[in-house]
Amino acid sequence: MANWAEFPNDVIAHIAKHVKGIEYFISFCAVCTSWKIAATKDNFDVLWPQLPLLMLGAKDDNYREFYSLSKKKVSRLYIPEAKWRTCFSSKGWLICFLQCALEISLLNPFSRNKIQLPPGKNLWSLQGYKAGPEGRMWHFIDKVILSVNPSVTSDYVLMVSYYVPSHNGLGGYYYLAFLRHRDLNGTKIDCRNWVE
Amino acid sequence: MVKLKSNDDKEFEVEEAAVIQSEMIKNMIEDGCATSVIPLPNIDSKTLIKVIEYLNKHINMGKAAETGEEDDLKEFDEQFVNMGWEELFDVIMAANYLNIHELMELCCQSAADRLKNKSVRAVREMLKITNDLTEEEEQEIINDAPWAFEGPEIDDTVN
Repeated sequence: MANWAEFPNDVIAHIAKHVKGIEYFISFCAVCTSWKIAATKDNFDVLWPQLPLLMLGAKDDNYREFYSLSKKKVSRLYIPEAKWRTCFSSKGWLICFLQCALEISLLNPFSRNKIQLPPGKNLWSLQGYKAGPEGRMWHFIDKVILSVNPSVTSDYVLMVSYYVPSHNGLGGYYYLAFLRHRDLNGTKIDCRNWVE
Repeated sequence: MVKLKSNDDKEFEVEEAAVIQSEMIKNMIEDGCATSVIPLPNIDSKTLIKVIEYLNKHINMGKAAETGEEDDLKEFDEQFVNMGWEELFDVIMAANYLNIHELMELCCQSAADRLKNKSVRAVREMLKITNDLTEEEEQEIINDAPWAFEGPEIDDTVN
């Protein structure tokens, strides 16, 4: 009688390695103790292209809802770390902004790994602007992109495209900021001449 | 020719070129330990026949690429893994024991593909796995990812 729970550990791990979709991998780990032990994070191929998940609007709870293209339905994920935050996504990670605290963090919604970046106040003053009252200007971040999946290397760059209104309130400028995790100083590129 | 003996005492003759796809047997031959019959105490004749069928078909992998028989081989592989869970289990165990890399990949991929889109409960039922997670562990997964427990129930293609 075949007993799939009593497969040798390395054989279960071998099967787990072929489970490429993150949603399927999580289900795989939930079957029984021996599968859970064998299917470690190392057995998941983070570089394998995943079918996109469309994140739906936030509700006031600890969950976020995603429309899954592979399952063709809405799935819920427990990610309290994203509560109250404005989230952008790139390379399978969420980039979460907490406006009132000018705080940025990177969050992997599946492994729940969290990378806290230095407080925005320090970071953003380097970018040549003062945050307005209640961090008002953070409303003008319009796109955030990671150069590479932080699960793969710590040497990644976060690119932030943002808009700074001028002091008289008439018009403003677009900037691109590059934040490198290694030095975290950030380099600002003024793109007012070509993005407007 | 190399002689293999299954655990139910049946002997099979296999060409050396085919059988050395098994790293284990290849090493035995290289070490001069394969002069007579090689006993395989973990493999029954039914499974061994399947494995030998695979080895014979894949004997000339390089040649297949040259002569455009790759599609033929792919079709064979697809047919080959079209087996029940019990049989797949035995073949994976045999491929693991004999250390036949390609066969292991093929069968594990097939197992992984069959598990796709099945809920945790459906997988347990399908493979007759007893849930030995503690209530707390199970509840934690249900909290984190409730959809893992939703999904199509067992269908005819996977028994």
